[in-house]
Amino acid sequence: MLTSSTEAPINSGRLISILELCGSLKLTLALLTVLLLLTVLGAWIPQASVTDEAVYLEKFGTEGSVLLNSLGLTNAFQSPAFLFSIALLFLNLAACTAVNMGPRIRKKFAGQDFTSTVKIRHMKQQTSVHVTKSLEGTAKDLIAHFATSGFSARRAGNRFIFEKGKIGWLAAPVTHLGLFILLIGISVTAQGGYRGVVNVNTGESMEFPLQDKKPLIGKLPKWRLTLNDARKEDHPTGEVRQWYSTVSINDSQGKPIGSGTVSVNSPITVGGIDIYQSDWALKAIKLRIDGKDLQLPVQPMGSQFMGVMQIMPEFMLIGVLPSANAPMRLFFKHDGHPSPKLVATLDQNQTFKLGDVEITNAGTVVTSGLQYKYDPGLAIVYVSFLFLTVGAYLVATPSHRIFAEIVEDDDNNCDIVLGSDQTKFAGLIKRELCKVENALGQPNPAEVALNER
Amino acid sequence: MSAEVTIANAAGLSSVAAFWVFVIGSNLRRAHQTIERLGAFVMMICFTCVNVALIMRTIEASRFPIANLYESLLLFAWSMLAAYFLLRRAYSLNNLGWLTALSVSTIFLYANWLPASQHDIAPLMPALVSNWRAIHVPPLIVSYALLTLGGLLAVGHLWTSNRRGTAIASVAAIAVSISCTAIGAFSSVKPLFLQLWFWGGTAVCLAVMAFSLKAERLNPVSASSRADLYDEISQRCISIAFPLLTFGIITGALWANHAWGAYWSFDPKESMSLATWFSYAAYLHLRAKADMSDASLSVVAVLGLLLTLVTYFGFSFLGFGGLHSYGQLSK
Repeated sequence: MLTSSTEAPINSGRLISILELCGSLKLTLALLTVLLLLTVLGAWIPQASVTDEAVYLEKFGTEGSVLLNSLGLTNAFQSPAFLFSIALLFLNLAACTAVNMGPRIRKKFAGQDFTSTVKIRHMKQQTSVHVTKSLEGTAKDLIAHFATSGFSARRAGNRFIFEKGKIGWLAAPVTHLGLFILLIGISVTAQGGYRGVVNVNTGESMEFPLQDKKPLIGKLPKWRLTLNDARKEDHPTGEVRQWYSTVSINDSQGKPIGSGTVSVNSPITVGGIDIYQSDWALKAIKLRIDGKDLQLPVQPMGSQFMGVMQIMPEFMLIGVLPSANAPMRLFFKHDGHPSPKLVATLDQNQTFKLGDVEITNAGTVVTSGLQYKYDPGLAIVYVSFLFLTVGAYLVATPSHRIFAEIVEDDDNNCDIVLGSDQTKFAGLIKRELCKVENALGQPNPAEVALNER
Repeated sequence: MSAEVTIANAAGLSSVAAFWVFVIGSNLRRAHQTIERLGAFVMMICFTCVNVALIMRTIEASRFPIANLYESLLLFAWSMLAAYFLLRRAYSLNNLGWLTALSVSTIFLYANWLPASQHDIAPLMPALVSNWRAIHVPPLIVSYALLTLGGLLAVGHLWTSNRRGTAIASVAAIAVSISCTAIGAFSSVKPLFLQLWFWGGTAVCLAVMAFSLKAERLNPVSASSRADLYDEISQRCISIAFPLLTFGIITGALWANHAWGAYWSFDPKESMSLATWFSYAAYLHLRAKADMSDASLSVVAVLGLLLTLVTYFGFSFLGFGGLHSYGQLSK
């Protein structure tokens, strides 16, 4: 008869140690809940690292901003509550691994204990089937039945263990191991890595501003980065498709170390340092007026860039262009006239003569935002990603274990007692037990009900 | 209107038709099986249309068609339909049809009402010009679809296991999320008001769920095994979605490291995906280790569904910003 027991598993009688407390499931769930809430709050409330004070004042008012600040929610992911919860979660993971995983792994390699009828009857899913056959005949039928469902059988006397999907149980150990490796990787990055952003104009060079970085491993390079060229590629419809920066890097003696073209999604690595394209901006129009070079700073105005310069008390020069390499439209505005007057459209290096004054479009100045990063922990983090992915896939892999014992009565008939304490995919176990009843014993109401659905 | 959008609309219409076929079928005792098969056939037409629409969009755009909310909704609908056919084959559960058809038709209704700019094939911005887009996004969308199905089946389990009050409160909580999605997409209500409605409404519904679950804990469970089956399929959906969610988050981290130089930035979308991951990690721990009732586990699955909806749609209606803001609607 198939029944479900709600009784607690037999208490081993061990004293609850601090380790067990630290590794308890209740603590795991409490920490996951705290982390979940803090993460949701951190996602909802703009974080201080990327938000100005004014945004908080506008969104939450003065009192709200002060309250959020004092609760640490404007920096939720660096808040003591979040970091403490993460630390506790790893302590919990370590304790859980020591208390639960260790014995489980040992048992897996040493061999699972065969279980008695008394213990099977206390399991969450259990059933018994009466068979009018001898012990050996029943055992043979039982093994054959489970073999058709893909179970492998192990036997010790009258006791059996039927197993299917042997790798599913590895889900938790592999995932937990992945999390530990992730923690190590993040720690190595935090202690040994550095990052930053430099904004360089075309044709200019600058040193990596690394003075405040102090990696534990290795030395900080004294390199000089030169932005040889920066360009933008547009889609035919006018939207930006890609930004490119051609850079070269020299050491402190001017010896070339590396060079290449960086674009979004295509960083370059020089001497272990990754360089990324993170920003791009048209900064100024270069003009040559009567042989004198000057720069006209521009600002984005809709889809155009515009620069204004007062060249005489009553005259203003206005330069407008849609992109860095496009022709520039040159306007003049006189105080006496309400609207500017277009005087010329100049390609790059083209000259226009206004009276005696020669004006040449000498090109543009582009600023490229380049991010640099040195991350010695990245390889470890990637290994952890591999473990986490494999661990998560094992979650979806059912792993079934059914215990059985055959008890022979005085009339040479047998009772098969079957059970499992598995809660993961318990429905499948239930069906498997029903199948045994159906195949080897009398049909039961639960099986009939299952077939009726 | 392009041919591809017309075919997508045909898919939407066939999902509505399938829903009504399933509803009619469930009320007819004699022709029940035949009409259920007819419903599945209409669903197959819907699935075919979605496939054609996705292929046409891929050809037209000359890229993998995942670049905005509309395109992701097409893939979301595809995933739900694929999951329906696989589950129907594995479990022979007739009642899954109307639930999937209702979900898919809601998705198409929403997708159809999105601004016209979403239906147009727009050029990709620099950050999206990468093969990582085709690796990172599909597993996430498929996982969202499976988690949605898992959550809805959990509601089904609550209903069939005589926890009607909890089931109704769960539906109300889901309705709050959907209403926020609709209001946020089709009106100019301030995000703060929407956030108040969302968080307030959800909090009230969760409180009612908790109260109802406690009040209904002694309710007799009917002998029907349908409740068990709903629970089992819900668990199966979640346990398949969890690795996909993990894979999606991890490939997102790899892409972020490649594009932005940091594999994790605590961007709002990243944070919400992590929160969703935490919730399902808790669900799986509870399922595997804790002596918790199936009804309580179904409530956890519904909580996970709410987080999934915020992670997927939150950016379009709750005013989240951040690095993933290209997913936002421009109204």
